[in-house]
Amino acid sequence: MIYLDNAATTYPKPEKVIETINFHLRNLGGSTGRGQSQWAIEISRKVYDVRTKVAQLLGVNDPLRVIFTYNATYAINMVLKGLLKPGDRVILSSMEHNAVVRPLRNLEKRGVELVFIPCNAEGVINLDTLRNQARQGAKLITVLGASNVSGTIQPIAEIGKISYDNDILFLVDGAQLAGFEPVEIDNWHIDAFAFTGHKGFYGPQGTGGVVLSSRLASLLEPLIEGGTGSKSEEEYQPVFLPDKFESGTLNSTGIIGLGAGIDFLLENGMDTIASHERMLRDYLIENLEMEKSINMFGLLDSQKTTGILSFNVKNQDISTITNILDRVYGIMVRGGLHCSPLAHKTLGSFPYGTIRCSFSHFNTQDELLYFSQSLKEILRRG
Amino acid sequence: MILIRLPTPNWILKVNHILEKEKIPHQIIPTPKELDPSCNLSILIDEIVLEQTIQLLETNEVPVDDLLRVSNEI
Ligand SMILES: Cc1ncc(COP(=O)(O)O)c(C=O)c1O
Repeated sequence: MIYLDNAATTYPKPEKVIETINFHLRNLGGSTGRGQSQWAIEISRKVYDVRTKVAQLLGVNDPLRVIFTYNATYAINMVLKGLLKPGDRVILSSMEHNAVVRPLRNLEKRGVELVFIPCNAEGVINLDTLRNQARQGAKLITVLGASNVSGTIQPIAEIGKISYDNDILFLVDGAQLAGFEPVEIDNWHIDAFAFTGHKGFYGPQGTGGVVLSSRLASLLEPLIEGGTGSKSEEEYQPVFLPDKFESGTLNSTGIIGLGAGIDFLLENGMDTIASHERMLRDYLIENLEMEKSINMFGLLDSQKTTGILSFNVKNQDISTITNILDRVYGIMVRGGLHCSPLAHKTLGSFPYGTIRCSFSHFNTQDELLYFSQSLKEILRRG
Repeated sequence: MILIRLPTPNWILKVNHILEKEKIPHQIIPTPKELDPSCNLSILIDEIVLEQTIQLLETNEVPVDDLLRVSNEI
C-alpha cells in the first residue's frame, strides 16, 4: 500500500514512537502531575521533557507556556472561546480550516464580528488589505501557518509584525506548519500557536496543544476546569501555567510518544525532511503537468509550500478516482474538501474539492512514479 | 537540607530540569502532606548549593518564595 495522506496524519509512525509508547504503557503506571510515586514522578519528568522539546522547536524559552490538548482543533477552540466576547472584532484569512471557521461562525452568532482577508488564487494572503483592516483595530488576527489544501505557507512573521504594531493578539493555526519549517513564536509576536502532534511531529493521534504568550494567558478563560494535581485544597482553578488550561488526566502516553516523534524529526533534520518532501512535490508536478485534463491548485513553486499537492481532473468525479486508486492500485490519497470549504472557494476548487497528495519522510519517488502511472491509466480508461 | 516548594508539580519539574542541566545535585520528593495537602512534589537540595540555586531560579523566572530548612530525615 502507498500512503499519500500525510497532511491528515503521518504514516507510518517512526519505530521509535511505537517503541516508546509500548514501553510506557507496559512499564510506567501513573498519571502526570498527580501522585507522588516513583513512576508518577518519572512520567511527569518525561512529559516535562516533551514540553521542553516543543518549546525549543517553536522558539519559546519557557516550557510552561506549552499547554497540551488533544489536537489542534481543541487548542484553537480553547483560544477562540476563552477570549472572544460579543462586540470583539476578529480578522482571519480566506484560507482557514474549519477548525477556525466553525467556532468563529458560532461566535459570530453571539455578536463577534468577522473580517475575512482575501487570499489570491494561489492561497497567499493580501498583506495590504490585512494592514488596512488591522489599523481599524481588532481583538485578534488568526491565520493558518500553511494550507492543508494547497500547502501554501503564509508570511507569518510579517503578519505577526502587523498584529504587534496594531496591538492585536495573534493566533496561528500551526497544524500544517509545525515540524515542517522552523517557527519563532516569540520573535514573530505570536500570542497563541496551535499545533497538532500527529502530523509533522510524527507523534500519535490525540496529542497537540497551544503555546501561549503571557499576555494572552492572563486574558484567556479556561474552557475546561477541574483537577490539576496542584492546589487541591482550593475549589477555584489555578491561574498559573500550564495548570490553568490542563485540567483532567493528560494523555501522557501520547505526549511521551510525541516526544519520540520530535526526536525522530530532529535526528533526521527538519530541513532535510522538508527538502525531501519538496523534491517529491516537484517530481509529481513534473509527472503530471503534461496531462491536459489535470488542473493543479495553489503555488507551483514548492519552495513556498509544504509537501502537499492538490489537483482535480476535468469532467471526472474525484471520489471515483480516489476510490479506484485505493481499491485497485492500493494508493491512499484524499479527495474532497479537506474540512476547508473556504480555502477551496479561494483556490477555485469549490464545491467538489481536489485530490490531495501529501508526503512525509517515508515516501519515495518510486511511489510517486507508480501513483502517476496509475492515475494516467485511470484517466485513459475514462 | 533545603526544601524548595512551589504551587504546582509543573514548576518543580521546571526546577528539576534547570538543576539537571547545571549538574546541581538535588532530589524530587513528595511534599509532606502537612505542608501541602495536594499531590505536590518538592525539591531537596543541599545548603551549599542554595545560593547558586536561588540565582538560577531567578534567572529562569521561577518565583522562589518558599524555601524551608528541613532535617536530613525527610
Ligand atoms: C490547517 C489545519 N488546521 C487544523 C487542523 C486540525 O487538526 P486536528 O485534527 O489535529 O485537530 C488540521 C488538520 O487536518 C489542519 O490541516
